[in-house]
Order: sequence, then structure tokens, then C-alpha cells
Amino acid sequence: MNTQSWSGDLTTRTGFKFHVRPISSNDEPALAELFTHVTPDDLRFRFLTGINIVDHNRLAALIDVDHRQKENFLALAEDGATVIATAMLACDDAMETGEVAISIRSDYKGRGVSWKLLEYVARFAEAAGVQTLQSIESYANHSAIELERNMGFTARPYPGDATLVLVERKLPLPVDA
Amino acid sequence: MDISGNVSEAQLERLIPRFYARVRDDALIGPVFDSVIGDWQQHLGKLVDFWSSVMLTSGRYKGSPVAAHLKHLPSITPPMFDRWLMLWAEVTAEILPPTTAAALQGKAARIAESLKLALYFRLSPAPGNASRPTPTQS
Repeated sequence: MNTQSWSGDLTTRTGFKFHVRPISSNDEPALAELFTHVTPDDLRFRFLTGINIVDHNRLAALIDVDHRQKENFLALAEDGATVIATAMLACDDAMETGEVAISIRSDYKGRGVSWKLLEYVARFAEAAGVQTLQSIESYANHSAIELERNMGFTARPYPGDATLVLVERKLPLPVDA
Repeated sequence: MDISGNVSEAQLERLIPRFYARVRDDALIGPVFDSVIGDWQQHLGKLVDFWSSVMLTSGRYKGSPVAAHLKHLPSITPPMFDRWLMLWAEVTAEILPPTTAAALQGKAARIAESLKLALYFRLSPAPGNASRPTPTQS
């Protein structure tokens, strides 16, 4: 799939406008900057372990994606430079199941960006033939679980780890999601 | 064994030390465990609690196995999960009735899948990529 065509301008339900595009190799500084504006709780929810700084190795893992099995979308503010969110999708070898993980700048929360971005990733996954979209959430991440439930995901206990829940839904999304 | 074929606490207390003795003897996965676990006596107690929580819903284990494995991610590779499961199948079959052993094996396989999902989908540095196809650049 040609992922370059997966760039565009989105408007959230609150009327907030942002640009979305696949990540590229020179995005490390902007991505590092983003994570310095993510709340400590949200960092823990994203990486499932307590960290203060997202180091080079972690950033590299989010940037060196093959744009096929793995894609990382960046949401950019209207200045075209400020990264306000990242949405990573990683699929299994069969391209049947994909896992999505989103991080957002704390000062851009509450404008519907996460919803719009999750919907965008779901459409992308759908186009790639992915049948099930999953996310691993900390039990304490109520806002993410609530958002996903509203988008038709169901939550169930994570096998063997009572601190986590596995949320998932079948694709495609309904047309008016 | 109780009437449902479920494992008992006593069986777990016999199984876990024996299984981890086998793990520590294994050339592939033994060194990883030995480099990370300082106090084996304490760790075996934690593992009995874990399996008691998983199989008997005792709720004694409060930790996060996913976070515990993420901490040591660079040294954990996907083939290690298969080796772990192979040893688990051996030891459970040796000392437990077949239905109990099968229940423990099935549960372990699901937990291994969920751990792999968390480890290699989400963060996915080098080890998880090793078995993946060559990227097709767009």
C-alpha cells in the first residue's frame, strides 16, 4: 500500500484542525519534543512501564517503521511543525490483527484529536486488510478505554496481567463512525 | 486435584520450583532468568502467587508481568517463549494428572501470546523485528 497517500487534513468534532502524515526518518527531534509534553501518566500508559524520558532507542523504534506491517502517523498543528500526537499501528505477520497506541500532548487534549486519529488509523488498517484492531490499555487509563468503547471496542481482562485490559473491535468501522 | 480437575495450591508449590530448576539449566533461557532474578526463593513464592491468581483466581499476585518483561526486553527474544512453553509442557506432564497439566499448558500458551503482543507489537526494538519480512519501502 502506498502510505504517502495517507496524508491529509482532519477536523475534529470540536472544529479543531490538524494535519496527519506517516512519520519519516528526520522526525526524531519533533517526536522527542512531543514526549516532553505528554503527562507522566500518559507516558506510563503508552509504554506500560514507568519512564521519565523517551530515549533514542525508544524513539528509533517508533521511527524505523516499515510503513507496511508498522506505521506511525503524526498529527501536526497548523504551524506544520509542532507534533501534537502520534498513533502507532503494528500488525501481525498475517496482517490480520493490528495493535494501535496513541500519545498526545497534554495541552492538546480535550479537542477530539485522539478520536479522529484513532478513526484514521482504523481506516488505514481496514484498507490494509486488517480484521481486528486491538489496544493494550492500563486498567487505570479510563479515558482511553471510554473513548475506545464509544468507538465500538470491547474490553476484556488481559490474559495473565490484571493491571491491563485488552480492548478490541472488528473492522471495518461503520461508515459514520 | 479438586473435582473440576483444577490444579491445587500444593501442586503449584511442587511444580514451580521444579519447573524453574529446569529453566535455569536451559542454555537458551536460563541465563536471562539468572541475570535478572537475584533472590530465587522470593521469586518462586511470587510465581506460585501468580499461578494461584491465574488458575485459582486467588488474587494474591498484584504485579504486572507485562511491565516486568518490558524492563528486560532487549534480552528477551521470541524463540525464548517457545522454549519456555516446551519446558512447561514437559514438567507439567511429568508431575501432574493429564487434565491438570493440559489446563496449565493452555493457560501458559495464552499468557505467552499476550506477553508477546505487548512486547513486540508495542515497543518492538530489534528482537521482535528479526523474524519479520524485509520492509517494502514505499
